[in-house]
Amino acid sequence: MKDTLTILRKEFSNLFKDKRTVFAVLFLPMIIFIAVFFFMNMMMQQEQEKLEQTVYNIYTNNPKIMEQINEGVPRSVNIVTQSENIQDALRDSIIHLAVIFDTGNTFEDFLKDETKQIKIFSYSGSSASNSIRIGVISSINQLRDQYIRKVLEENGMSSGILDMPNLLQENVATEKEMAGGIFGRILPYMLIIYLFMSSFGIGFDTTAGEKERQTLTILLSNQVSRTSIAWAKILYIMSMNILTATISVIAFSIGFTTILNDVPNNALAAFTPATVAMLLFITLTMAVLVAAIVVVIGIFARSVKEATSYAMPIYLVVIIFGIMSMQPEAFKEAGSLIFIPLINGILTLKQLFTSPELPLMNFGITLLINLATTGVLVFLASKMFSNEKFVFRTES
Amino acid sequence: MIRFNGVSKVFQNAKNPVKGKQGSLSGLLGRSKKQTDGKKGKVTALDHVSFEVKKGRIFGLLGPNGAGKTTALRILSTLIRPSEGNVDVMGLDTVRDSQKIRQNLGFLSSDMNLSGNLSARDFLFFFGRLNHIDDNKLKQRVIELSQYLEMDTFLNRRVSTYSTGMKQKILIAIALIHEPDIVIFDEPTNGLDIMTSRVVLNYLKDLKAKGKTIILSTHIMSLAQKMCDDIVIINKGKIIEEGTITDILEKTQKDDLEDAFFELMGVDAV
Repeated sequence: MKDTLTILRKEFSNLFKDKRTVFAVLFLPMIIFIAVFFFMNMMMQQEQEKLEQTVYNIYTNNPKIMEQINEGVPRSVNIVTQSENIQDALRDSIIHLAVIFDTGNTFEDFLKDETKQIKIFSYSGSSASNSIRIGVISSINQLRDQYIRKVLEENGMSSGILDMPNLLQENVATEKEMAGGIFGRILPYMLIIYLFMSSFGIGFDTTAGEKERQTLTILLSNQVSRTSIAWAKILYIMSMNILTATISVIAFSIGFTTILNDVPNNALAAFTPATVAMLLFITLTMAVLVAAIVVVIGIFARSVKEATSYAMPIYLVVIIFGIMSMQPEAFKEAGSLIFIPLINGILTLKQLFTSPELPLMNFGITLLINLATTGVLVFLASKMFSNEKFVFRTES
Repeated sequence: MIRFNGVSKVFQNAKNPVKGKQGSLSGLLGRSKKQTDGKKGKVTALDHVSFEVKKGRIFGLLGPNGAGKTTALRILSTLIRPSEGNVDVMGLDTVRDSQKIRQNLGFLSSDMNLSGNLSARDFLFFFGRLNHIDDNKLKQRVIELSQYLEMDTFLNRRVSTYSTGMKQKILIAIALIHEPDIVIFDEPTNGLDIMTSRVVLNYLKDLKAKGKTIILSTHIMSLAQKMCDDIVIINKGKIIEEGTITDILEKTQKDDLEDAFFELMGVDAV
């Protein structure tokens, strides 16, 4: 244990002596996430303001009806009656919409015609075109509604039949469940991405990278046991995993909530002491397992490049499960997937935040399976550190 | 004290077993490939090698590139296992008692390297602590080694900024930090200038005077003649001659070890 801590201390010392690496590993993800979401939010707001201020050019063959429709469009509109080529004009943003009516002088005349048809041309590559299209369609529906009300009243019938009933909506989900739904979707995915991403850089550098740089032989020729070396490498990677994953997930959550509209006021309600404790244990077991996987691959591979290519399929499988877990209905029942190391962590994390009750059984199974798998991998890694076939297996 | 008993080493699926460069002695001798047993990818690096290293002497392992010197030293330092035979180090077996043997062994190999953000001082303290030397003694030892090997000027600099010679010095210091009884140096003067080489060789003589056993692997015959008490010459994984320098010179009737070496290799000296 003493040797493990000595190696661990050396690894951290090596890392923290390089300010650029510390910045890149610990601070950059935080800055990037917050900055990206801040700019996304800013751009979305700017786009909205721009759409509100734009004067929309609408081409039509019937300016009279179009004027009627425009009254219900909450935008500044300029009606254009001449355009050589509608498609080109839309693509070039000369016009934002084209509305072609088949018949009628007024909107009422138009509605009375049984073969009535409106052709609306828009360009999906332009947000202004999309925006005015929605506004125009909405206005057409409103005009139609007004006309029907008028006809009903003229015939002595109440137009109340067209009124929408009072919709009283109530979500029975608790504040914790609403908040948990969001974290249950984001956390497992984010966590698994960052556990792997930070492992690849640091983990492969300290295993396959050391083999490539020929810095491992000097350590192996000392009296330290191979198990101590394996544990030191795993603990180092795990610690960095947890550190970077925590920073990244926090930064992502802060950034993400700035662009989400459905975040409950008390988002932290999802984090009860029990869920925090369970989250911590699951994260720890997943981090140590990822670290062990990375160490085994790193010792096996000839180079960092080779190690990365070996790890990629595992990473992709886990990422697929991470993406699936973002669906609200996914993994409500874990089934036999709970027995698959690492995947079980994603499922249990999801259930932890989305189930009304704590998933104690799955939590226990997840911990047990992940720790047992880690134990097997540590044993394997220490054997590999003692095996010349792996230690001296390099590309040079 | 150290005994190689019929040691063989066969590498399976070796892609590129020979690292000998063009123009090297092995190339000149037309021996650019190690012994193969006819099966694809199987290379015999050592073939039933037996020799003995006596305590308190400087022992030279000589041979051309690809002769099997590094393999023999790696087996002795417990980094790899023999395919056949065994190596006995002070009554301990290199396979069964590898960790115990490493406690008493300082190993410097030509394929070792240091990199990263740590300084020579950091590395010396790190390896000292791995060898369970208490901090006060370790501080003293670091001062002693850095003075002797003239490392004071760069002791606190990052190793990534070191020249080859500086790195070689720190690797030597690391191998000796725990004052091992057995010192194994594979090409110790590689990359060192003439002044530093002298310092290192004098230090090895001091170690011998202190009763340490030193095993040197080198292709520099003048160095071997000056430093070694006993030598073994190997080629293609087999011992072709062994004994004291005097024995070998007498046997080959040469005045110089380099000439004797070429004689034994069956090549005329230039």
